[in-house]
Amino acid sequence: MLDARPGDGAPGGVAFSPEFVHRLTQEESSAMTEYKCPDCGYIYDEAKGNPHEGFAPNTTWAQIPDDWACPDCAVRDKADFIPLLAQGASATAIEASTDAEPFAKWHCVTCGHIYDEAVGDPATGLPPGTRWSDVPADWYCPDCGATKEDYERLDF
Amino acid sequence: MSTTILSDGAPDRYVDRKRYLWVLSVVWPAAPLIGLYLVHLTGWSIFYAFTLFVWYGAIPVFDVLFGKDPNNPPEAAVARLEADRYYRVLTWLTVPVHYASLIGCAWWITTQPIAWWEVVALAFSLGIVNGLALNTGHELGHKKEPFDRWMAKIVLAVVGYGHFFIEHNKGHHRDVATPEDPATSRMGESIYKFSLREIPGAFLRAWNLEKVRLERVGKGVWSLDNEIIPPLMITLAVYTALVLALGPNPKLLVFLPIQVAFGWWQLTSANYIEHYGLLRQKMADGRYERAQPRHSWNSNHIASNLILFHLQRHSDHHAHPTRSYQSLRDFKGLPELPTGYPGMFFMAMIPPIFRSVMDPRVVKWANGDIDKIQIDPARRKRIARKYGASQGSRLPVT
Repeated sequence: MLDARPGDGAPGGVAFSPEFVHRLTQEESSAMTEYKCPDCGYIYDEAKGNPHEGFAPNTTWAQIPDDWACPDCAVRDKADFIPLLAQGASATAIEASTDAEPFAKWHCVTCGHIYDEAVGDPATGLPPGTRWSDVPADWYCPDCGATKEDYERLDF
Repeated sequence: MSTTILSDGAPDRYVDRKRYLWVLSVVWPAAPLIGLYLVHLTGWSIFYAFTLFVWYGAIPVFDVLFGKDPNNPPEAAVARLEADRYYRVLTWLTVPVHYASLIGCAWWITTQPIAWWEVVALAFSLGIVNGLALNTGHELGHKKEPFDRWMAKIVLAVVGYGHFFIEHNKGHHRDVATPEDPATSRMGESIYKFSLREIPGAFLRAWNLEKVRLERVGKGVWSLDNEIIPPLMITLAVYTALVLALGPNPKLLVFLPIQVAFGWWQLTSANYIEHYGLLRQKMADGRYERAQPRHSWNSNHIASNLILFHLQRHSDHHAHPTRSYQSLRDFKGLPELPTGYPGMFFMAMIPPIFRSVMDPRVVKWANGDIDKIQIDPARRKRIARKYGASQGSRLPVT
């Protein structure tokens, strides 16, 4: 997980207090009902389940087998999925509390992988809300292995 | 590794210069019918093999003449390309063309005077195009919309390979470049040996994937919910209808299995060359590292890509399987084939030539580390000896 000691961010970056991160994790465990495939965007909604895949409505994420892969692209497994807070509360909560500029997206020029600050990349230890400046310099693209320097900011 | 995707055009200014050229992918499956028309015009029976000559002869020449494709949509233009319905409609239009080719050829055989060798030549020609039916089904089967997925099953039924939809998406993409994947070839393995592992392995994997899913659903495998069964029923219905409508002509009964088998052979050829020798490493937690762009062989030749819905931009396809053909991109530094798929397919049928071209590339890809190569265990010693690995497991990189 992101090292979240107060005042330990890169210059201009945002550091979260341990209390805040803890509260966020608590909220996640109780309120989370949706999980998103980081590659193709498929969303598993616990309320709806996925009857075609054999998961009746209200099948919780914990009940999904560990070796289950995304039903749309199959190149991401359960462990790769990103939890989404109900009504996108995650990103809004962090943005409101840090009083910072909107989250930006960065894109790997080698393979096109998109790093979204709002979503982070939990699989490589970057929780939602991790600013690009807080991403470690030795972090590499989870899709193709390119370095952090190979990313460019996406401005639409 | 740096490329300049964003700087080569703002999102709203990118013009897809291949937009109308993609019609070639729709027209090409009619090639056997074009061949029959040429037979009709000239009376020369050589045109029964028209598709074979174009595929194995002309396209590789075009790949040399027209070279590589400089067009690459910037990431920012991808969303707009993906939303453009035109490209989807082209893939739908390809589906009836495949049926027209099958029915047209079968009709010709049963109504026109035709010699036995001409029947075989036409069967191989249609077989090439059936390989393309698998390509069309591949493109459609990766889409999320139910209509596209149904079109995939319908077009795969032409060549009796409905299980591809399950096998490829949920099996091959997941296991690619690992020893678990029957659709990834190993260095030193000939295409003939590979086909004996790939064809049954693919069906069994698809069947098991559906079995596991249906167990969760609470149903048995012998049910219409088994996604392998409806396309299989379409295949049986179409072929039964053809034989009933045209009569049990012995030439037709020989023709049909040959064109199906050679269609499967095209898929085997594609699987054989797409990941030859490449291997993903296992991580500490027992999972394989993610399939990365370096785990596919690519060809950025424009001529063959235009009749293959960009299948040869294979690394981007594996990185983002649901991305549509028009948005697939080429990247620098990827594993590269010397020519397009048609030329490689031909080369694959002559194992000594294929090995002499590809084995050095695989060794270079792995930086000479034999343990990083997916290698046919039966050939491992011979390969190490051939490349003169005297100590440890290093092979000299040429």
